Amino acid sequence: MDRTEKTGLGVAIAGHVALFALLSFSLMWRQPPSFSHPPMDVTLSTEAAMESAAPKITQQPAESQAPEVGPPAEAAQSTPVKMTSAEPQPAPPKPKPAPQPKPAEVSKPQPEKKQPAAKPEPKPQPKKSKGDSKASDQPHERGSRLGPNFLKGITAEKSASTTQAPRASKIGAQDIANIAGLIKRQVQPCYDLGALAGTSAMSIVTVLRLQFRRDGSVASATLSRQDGVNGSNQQYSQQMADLSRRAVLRCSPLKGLPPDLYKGGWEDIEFTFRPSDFG
Amino acid sequence: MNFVFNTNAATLSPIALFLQADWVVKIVMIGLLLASIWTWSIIFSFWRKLGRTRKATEKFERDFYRAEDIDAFHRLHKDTDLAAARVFTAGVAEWRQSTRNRTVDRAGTRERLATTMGATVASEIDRLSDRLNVLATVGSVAPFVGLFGTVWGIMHSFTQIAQSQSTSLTTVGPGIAEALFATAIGLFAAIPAVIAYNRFSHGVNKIEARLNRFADGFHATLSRQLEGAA
Repeated sequence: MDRTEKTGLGVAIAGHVALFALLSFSLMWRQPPSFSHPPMDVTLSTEAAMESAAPKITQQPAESQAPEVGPPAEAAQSTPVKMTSAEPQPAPPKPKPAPQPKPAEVSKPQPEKKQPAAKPEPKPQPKKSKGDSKASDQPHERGSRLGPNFLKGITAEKSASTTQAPRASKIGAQDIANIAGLIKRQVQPCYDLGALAGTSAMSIVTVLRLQFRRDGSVASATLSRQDGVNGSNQQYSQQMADLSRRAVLRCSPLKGLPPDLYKGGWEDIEFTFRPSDFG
Repeated sequence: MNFVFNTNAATLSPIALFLQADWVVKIVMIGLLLASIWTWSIIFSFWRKLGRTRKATEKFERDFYRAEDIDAFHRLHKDTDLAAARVFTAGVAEWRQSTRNRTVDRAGTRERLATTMGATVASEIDRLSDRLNVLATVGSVAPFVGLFGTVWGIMHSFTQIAQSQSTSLTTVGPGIAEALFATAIGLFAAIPAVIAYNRFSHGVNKIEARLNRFADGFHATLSRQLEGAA
């Protein structure tokens, strides 16, 4: 190695070190834009769970039923119970009768018993007032007045509530929307369209029937139905169903679902996967 | 400006890419970096050597054709470290050896002179182009070595997909970027090496042609001298 080669080596090493340092130091520093979003997701989910679920449960039934029934303010409390119990009977009979978690509904079981009897004949009010030990006099008076109107009110409300809540009749539409939002937010990260993204499979809307355990884990997820299947994406339908099921099972213990809305609520629901929302 | 070594994988910082790579990829990267340093050191030294040789040869030839007395010129340039001077010295030595005796075999002397000088030219060119084969090797092999590092790194990141059960781009992306960095270094080493190899072999060819012309000219001079001497 003569002098020329030594200087050559020196120059080469110096050049490489300079280039390396140039690239490693902040010349290629383009960080800030990528660091802005992570914190937001975390706070959102907890807020939505606690605040929106609790207040609306109590308010909704009371509001919607009191005005329709009419004058009797005290009877308002007993009537809602009746109506809710009347609603479930057409679709899902099991969940409602036994496990109602609300503490103030000691009077509930009694109205329910009466209902079967009340159905055939339009005379439920008198019976109910007898059963209630508290206000036996007042219901009597009002009951006679209300008789015919009251039945109408029941039927009207029935139809309104069933459209929004297929399985969980106790829970208002808002709560269902909130729960659906909660589930969607947690399932979304696990929902991976993979190679199907952007294909005609995106127009398949998959509805799954989800049954949860109390701890938020998924007990079963079965395909309820699929919409938007046509000739061009028929071959994807099975794949989309599997994909949706996998998303739910993978994120399985869902957190933050309000425990007081479990029975008759998110215990057994139908959940819609619209790929365009999840993408 | 922030003068800290940037070790975040989300940037193109070479040190971050290096530190987060698999060890096989690291070895490949180090090897390619050394190859690149070696290549550039050869490029620098060869460039200077070639330029100097060209200039000195030009000057030597000019002096040679102007020289009145070849013996005096030989004394002056006996120890010059130059290819043309060595060719000249070899010719003069052969000439002296062949014409030492009384009877001179002219045809044999001419042939020996040509052979000796031709051999000296060849050996000088060999010496000059010694390092060119390194450039050729680096130029042809470095991309493959880099590719090996990339393939290995991508395999590695695929196993990481399997481990983390996630195919999202954020899990795969950094690993693939590190792997591709190996190919980038390979090309970084290979491209200058190939360019320099072509340039320098062209330069060496020119010098070889020049030496041959000089040897032929000197041979012609000696040959004429041989005729006169007889």
